Order: sequence, then C-alpha cells, then structure tokens
Amino acid sequence: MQQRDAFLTELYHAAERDSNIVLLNCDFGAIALDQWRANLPAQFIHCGISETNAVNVAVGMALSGKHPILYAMAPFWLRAYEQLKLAAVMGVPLTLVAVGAGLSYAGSGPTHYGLEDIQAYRALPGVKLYTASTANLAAAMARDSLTNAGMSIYRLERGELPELYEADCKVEQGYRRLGEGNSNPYLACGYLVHWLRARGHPVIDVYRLNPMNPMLAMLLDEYDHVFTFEEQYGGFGNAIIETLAQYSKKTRVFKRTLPHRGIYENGTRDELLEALL
Amino acid sequence: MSPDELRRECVELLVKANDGHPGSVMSLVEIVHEVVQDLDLTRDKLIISKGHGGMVLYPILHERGMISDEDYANFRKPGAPLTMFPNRHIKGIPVSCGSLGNGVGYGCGFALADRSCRVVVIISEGELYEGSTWEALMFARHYNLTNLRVIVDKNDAITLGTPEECLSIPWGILYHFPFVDVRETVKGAGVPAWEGKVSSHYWSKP
Repeated sequence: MQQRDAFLTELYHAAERDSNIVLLNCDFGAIALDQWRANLPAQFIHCGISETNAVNVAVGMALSGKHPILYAMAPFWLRAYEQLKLAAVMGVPLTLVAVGAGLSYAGSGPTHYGLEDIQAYRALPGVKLYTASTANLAAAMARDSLTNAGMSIYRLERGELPELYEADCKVEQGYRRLGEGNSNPYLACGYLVHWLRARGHPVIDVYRLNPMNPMLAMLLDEYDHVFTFEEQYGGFGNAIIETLAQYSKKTRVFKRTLPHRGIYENGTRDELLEALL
Repeated sequence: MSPDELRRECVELLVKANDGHPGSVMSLVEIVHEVVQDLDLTRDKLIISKGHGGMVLYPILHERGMISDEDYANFRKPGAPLTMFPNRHIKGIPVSCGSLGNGVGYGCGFALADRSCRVVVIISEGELYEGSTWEALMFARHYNLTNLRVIVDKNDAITLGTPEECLSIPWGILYHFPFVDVRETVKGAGVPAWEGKVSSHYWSKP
C-alpha cells in the first residue's frame, strides 16, 4: 500500500465517526480519496490548485471548531509558507499532508522536488514535523494526528516501499533503530532509510524531525561519529547536529546532502542518489 | 456610537499610542460603523483583512462590553492585550490579520464551516494586487458562500500613489462576484492633517 493511502484510510475511518474532520484537497488524487469523495462529500473540499487559499480556508474552519486536513504535493506547499507561518503563530490546529517528499518525483526536475522543506518547517514555532518511511508508520502518524492540538506536518513518500514497522506501531519515540549490530549508525528518514539499508548500513530512522527527541542524542552519544544522509540541502543533518550539540559531548556528525543547486539531471530516484549523494 | 464618535475615539487611541496607520483607520470608519449594526460580534465574524486599520473595531468592542475599560485604557501599552494589529486572542477578533491578502480566505473557512454564521471581510483595494485574494473570491463563488460578504475599502491610495492603472482590469471582473461590495472612501477622512494624503498611511500627529 502507498503511504498516502494508508494515511488517508485511517483519517477516512475517523471522519466517518466525526463530521468535524474535513479534507481540503489541492487537486491531487489518491485511491483512498475516492471513497472519501463518494461517501463523505460534505467533508471533502475541492480547493483547486490554490495552496495559499487552502491553508487560509483551513485556518477559518479550524477556528470554527473543525479539524481540517490539508492535502497536496510536497513541493507545492512551500508556496503557502507564509500562510503556514501565520497559522503557526496563531496556534491554529492544522494537519498538513505533503506527498512526494524529497526526490519522489525523480526526473521531473527541481520544481517538483522538496529539498528545503525540513529546514523550512522546523523554523515554524510549535510545529510537529514527521517523515514516513513505510505505510504502517504513515498510518500510525495519521492516528496520532487526530490528537494534535497544534500544527502537524506529514511528509509522505510516493509509491510502495518495503514495510519495516508493525501494523500497530506508535510514533511517540520519534526515531527507531532498524537492524542489529553496534557499528556507527546512518541516520536518515523516508526513502533513504530503504536506500541505506539496501546498501547494508545500520540505519536509525529519524521520522520525527520536530521536536527532536533528546533521547536520540543520548543514544548517539555512544559513538565517536555518525552519518546523516538526506534528500535535502542540509535541513535533516542540521536537525541532528543541533540536537547533538545540546546533549552530546563528543559525537561527530558526517553530513551528506544533495548538492546546493537545482537538480536538473534525468534519471530514476536511485540513479540520482547514486550520482548526487 | 455615531460614526463621528467612532472617528474621535480612534484618533484619541492613535494619539495616545503615538503610532499607527491613521489614513487606513479613518477610511474604514463609515464602513465598519454600518456593518456592525447588523452583526452579533460574539458570534458573527467581522474580519478586517487590512489589519493595519483593524483597531477601528476597538471602540465598538469596548462599547459592547467585549473589551474591558482597563484593557481599552491600556491600548498598545507593554503587557496589555490590545495591539495595533488586532489579534485573535482579543474577544471579537476572529482571526489575526496584518499580512495582506489573507482575510477573504479566512472568511471562506468561517463561512463554509458554519453556513448559519454571518461573515463580513473588509479588504483594502491594495489587497486586490494579492493573488491569494482572487483564489479566495473564486473559492467563495464555487462554494456559493451566501453568508459571506466582502467589502472593498476603495480609498484610491496605495503607498506609492494611486492604484487605478494596475487595478483597471480587476474592477471590471468584480462584477462576477455579487457578494463583493466596493465602497468609495477617503484615506484619512475627517482629519485635515491626514485627509486625502497618501502619507497618512504612516504615523504623523494630526
């Protein structure tokens, strides 16, 4: 199952029970949305291709007691960054789903890549920020989102990826060590968790990027160095470094990012990562 | 409270704060005075999207007992709740405004969430430059938000002069949005030092 379908299916079942849950869609499809449109039309709001307005409409609805879920492609939410900032400083509870994190739309070029959004979203006050690496994790994030009192942002991957989490997993921890062994870990989120595992590296999936769990720094403090890999221009590694700087005395971070320029190369996601990361 | 009394109260607040956007406040006085007659501000939503003029509501909220005497007397003082740009933590202010072009979108959200709630959004003509205003107007039409009303405070002044040339196309298109009401106003109206002057967008003592 795709992450977006897992996420939306959880919310759909919640929306069946709670008519205050409404989905605002910026002209972007998913299999799980078909049943939502068919069965809960009053809770499905077609905003057209207007991300800024969708956020503002969601703010008005949230301040009227609704529980709005904003749904669109990841790179295009940055168009509404100021509107998200205004919602964040007002403390408005919003759930934002950003589908197609990082290089998900490989081959489409830099307009379709969200390579700066982790850094950008972490700058917003009081925002919870997640990236899902699997469908079960995405579903757990959706369940968790129903209890959030502030703004929460979920970066989801495109396509189907191997499952690494149990069906009833929880997201409170914010990270998970995947696999055995005690060698220096590779920290990543989303698609790169799979990419690094396929190359035999010991991976820590850091799926909550704001607020960071200080326990992660305690764990990393056992190592003289760790590696961070990201489909970003630095925002992921910076989050790790910032956390370590507060809690760790010695761990050095080797940070690998995409080159700081527009990515215009052709190729599949793996081909781009091999060439650029 | 008459429009003249509302204008006088606003001037007193601005002078006491020794700051503000007097031209934008003064051009709103008649519009706001008229609109609030029909609204229950404890339930209906009045959004002054041009947040730099939003303090025009404070005398009305004070008169209706939604702002205490103490808070009203301490407008813009450190530690006191009343800010120059009204924010949503003040009773009677549905949403914080200040960044232009967002009020109609907020209004759409309020109007769609509860179609029995009356929602009035007042925007400046300068906000017709903002693409987000048009996204919201189209949304309101698409969802037939009959409980939403948008009023344009057309005072024929933006900071760099008069907007007439750039906005000649939007004025024609607005006919397609029957819930939009364009009101001709005068920037800084009623105060000789400010009236009709673009410079009254920024603070100067009257």
